[in-house]
Amino acid sequence: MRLLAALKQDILFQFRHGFYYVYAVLTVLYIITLRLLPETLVYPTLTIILFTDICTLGFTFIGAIVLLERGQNLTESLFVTPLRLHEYLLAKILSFLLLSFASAFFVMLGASVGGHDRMWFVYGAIFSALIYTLFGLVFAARARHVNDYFVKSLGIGLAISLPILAYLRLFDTPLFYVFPTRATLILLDVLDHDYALSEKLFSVASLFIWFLVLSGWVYQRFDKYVRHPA
Amino acid sequence: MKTPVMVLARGDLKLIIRDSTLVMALFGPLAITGLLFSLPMIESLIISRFSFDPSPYRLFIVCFLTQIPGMLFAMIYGFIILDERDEEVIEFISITPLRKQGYLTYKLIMPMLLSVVFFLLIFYATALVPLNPLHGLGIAMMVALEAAIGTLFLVVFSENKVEGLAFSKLLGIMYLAFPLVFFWDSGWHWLSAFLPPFWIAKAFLHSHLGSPWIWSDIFFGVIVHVVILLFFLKAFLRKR
Repeated sequence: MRLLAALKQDILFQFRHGFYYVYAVLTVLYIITLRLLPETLVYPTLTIILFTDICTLGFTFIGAIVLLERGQNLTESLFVTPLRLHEYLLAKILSFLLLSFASAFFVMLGASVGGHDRMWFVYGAIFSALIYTLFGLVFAARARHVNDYFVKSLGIGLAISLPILAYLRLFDTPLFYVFPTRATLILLDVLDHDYALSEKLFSVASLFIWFLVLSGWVYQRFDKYVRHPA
Repeated sequence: MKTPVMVLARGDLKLIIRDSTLVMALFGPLAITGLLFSLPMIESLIISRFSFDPSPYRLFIVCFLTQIPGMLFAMIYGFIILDERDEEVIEFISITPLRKQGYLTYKLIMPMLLSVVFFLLIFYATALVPLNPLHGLGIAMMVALEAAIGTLFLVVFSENKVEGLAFSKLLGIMYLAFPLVFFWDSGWHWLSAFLPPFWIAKAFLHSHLGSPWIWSDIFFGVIVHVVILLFFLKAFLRKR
């Protein structure tokens, strides 16, 4: 119940701050772009849109949200209520998941793209959205300003995005399989390309492991820097 | 001598160094510079891998990429203003002799200067496409105004940094004018003439084709930029 209340609050917050309007506009623009593109470019563009924006939007926004809440001393009051830290964090990542999911769903519906292997795709999209919000939370726990958050998160963000080079067939190395982004790009791409079952299973496991590791890390950092700041 | 501007600039510099914002402020533009320098290599890689010749798109790619540093500087200063507004620094400054106008003038001139310097530097250092220096200066003027527009866009429409971030996503839409001007082979592309980058794209295209229309692009482009800038400026000063 507390989780639901927190989730509702976070969604309302995002709504009030224009996230849903912004993504409504962007979704329409993405649909138009996808519809205008020649057939061969539709799926690669969709993958890039999902990877660079829709699935990773939590990464972009979470820093500013946490900073604002901390600036208004909201977190201090929040943690004297019965709300648990894990509920607070879950509400954050689930609220972004909803926005990502809604946007992705309408983009795909509007551009009428589908394909085989949808279950893999949906799993990939959901876990990617969760993971990148968690990544943002890791940095949000300590950032002092929005620009500060961006410096810290962007460097890592770009570094973990390196497997995009493999996706664009420019450069590849087995090391990329350590990155969560490699798994994301495989699972977002299954609609159009056939991947070996082993590759798909590996990606599913990789995203799940990253999810667990990051969850633990975020919990620890928030416990230390936000719930019990020195 | 401590002029108010110097005091402000020192404050910013402290803020930048402390928060390593400088890293980002320089990293983005430097990454773009690196990308542009390696563009010929990437082009030949694409030709060999995909047997697709991207060189006809070079003008478009160069124009587009050289706009990104300006956008980044606009965003960085937009977020500094939003942060300072959230922390009520602006309220404090507005009762000093500098006043709100002085504060804003400084915060807008910085992204303008930085984006012009980076634009000209990147464009002429990489020399990937020829551009008449006179035309280049005209375009640089629009680039500067556009940086100020970007910064103001963020602070006028958003109440705090969270909304600022949401609006920064919308800011990118403005650059849709580039593909529209370059690739939409229809008179309808004039619909996007109210977007400032439309005129930059037009100017690039006309300069490349050696068309005299370049001068009207710069003329109308500057007017469009100034009108939008004044509109945002008024809105910002009216706010709170």
